[in-house]
Amino acid sequence: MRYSFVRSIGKILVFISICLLSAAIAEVKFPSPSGFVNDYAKVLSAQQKRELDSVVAGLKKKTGAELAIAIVKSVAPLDSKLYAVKLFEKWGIGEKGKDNGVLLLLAMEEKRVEVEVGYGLEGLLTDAMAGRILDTYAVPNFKKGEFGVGIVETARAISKVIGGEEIPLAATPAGKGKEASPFFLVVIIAVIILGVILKRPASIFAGIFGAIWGAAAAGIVGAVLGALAGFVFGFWGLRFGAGGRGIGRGRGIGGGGFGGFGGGRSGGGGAGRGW
Amino acid sequence: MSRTAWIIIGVIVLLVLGTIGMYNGLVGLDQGVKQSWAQVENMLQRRYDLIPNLVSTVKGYAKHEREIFTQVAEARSKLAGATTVNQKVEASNAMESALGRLLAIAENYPQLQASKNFIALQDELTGTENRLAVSRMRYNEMVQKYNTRAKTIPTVLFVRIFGFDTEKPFFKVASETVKEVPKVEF
Repeated sequence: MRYSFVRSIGKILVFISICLLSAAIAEVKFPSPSGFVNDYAKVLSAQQKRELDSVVAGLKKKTGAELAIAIVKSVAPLDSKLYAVKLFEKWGIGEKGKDNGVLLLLAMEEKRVEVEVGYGLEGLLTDAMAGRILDTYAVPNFKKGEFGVGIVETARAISKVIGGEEIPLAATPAGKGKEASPFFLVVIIAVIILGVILKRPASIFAGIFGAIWGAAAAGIVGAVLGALAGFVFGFWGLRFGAGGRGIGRGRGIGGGGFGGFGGGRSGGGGAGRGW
Repeated sequence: MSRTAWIIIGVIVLLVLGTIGMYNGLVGLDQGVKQSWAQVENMLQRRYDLIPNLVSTVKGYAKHEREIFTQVAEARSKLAGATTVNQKVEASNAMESALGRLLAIAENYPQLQASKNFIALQDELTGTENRLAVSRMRYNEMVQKYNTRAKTIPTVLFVRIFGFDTEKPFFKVASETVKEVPKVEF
């Protein structure tokens, strides 16, 4: 009787360690914002950063809308749009209640730019408009390697549209680039569901599942074991600490006196382009 | 009154308070699930409304591809006829496959690809699919919270008595669609 009980404890401990390992491997760290403009890939020149700072400050002053810019080296293992949605959620861009936030995200390795629009701005900055802005100001510049220029021009265009001004838009699309097809979302959804079913944060297990699509075999085994472990914990109601760290809960506000964003929400609107 | 009597009263009070707490907790989580499902339905409706426009734009350039238009129309009417959550999930997944195929076919028509209308529509469609994905994600998060509460002791003992669902359905993606994911590159 007692021996078999000890063995079950032993098995659970094995599951714990597997879970910890896969959690550590797959943990997605979302950075904390140090201001409205966050260049984690060192793409902007000092002058360009200053220009951006003034564009977003001007927009904030004029309309209250918060335009956040994030340039990251890589969004792996997440899809760039999902990363944008989650980052927007974590930073809470836009004023609470008004949800007037926009996130302009660049994933340098994946070569994708995403615009994530808060609920309150979806009327002004429609998906089609976001797409055309990217086609006109972002993609042509990015294809030439002019990231700083492209970001500044895109930010200006977004700011003008939110401010109610008309902006010149390209008559024809600037080449198609890589557009996210709805199928990618099917993958994302499966990832999310698996992560949710497995309890703590979707990002961790999303990472595991992402590994499956990236590099077969080993990833799948890890994912299956991780799934089993998660289920065991779910049923036993164990609060799994490592899980909580995934989405950077508690990391809060970045250093240097930036007070953070207003706590606005978004729902997946906007558009994205590859270059 | 004797001490035993007080102890018994105390235990009864605690049980009553505990039960009330459990019930109210379930109510809150149940409402959370309902509200997030309402968002999912909003987004399904949004996609449903976009489709006629998409179909007619593609038809303008690819009239003879009749089979896919029929499939999309069928998927759309199935969605309109769905009432329960599970039916809607099934219908939504079927719609997604049909749409994916429609867009794949549209790739063969360069004039369509270059048309401003089509590009705007694709952005709107992708945006809607993204929104749907986000609302599904949030719905599933709510369902997970509810199911966890409804299945753990002590709530699990009372769920049926209280009249709540023992489990809510996740918005699962059809497994074949997931395996088939093609890397669509333009």
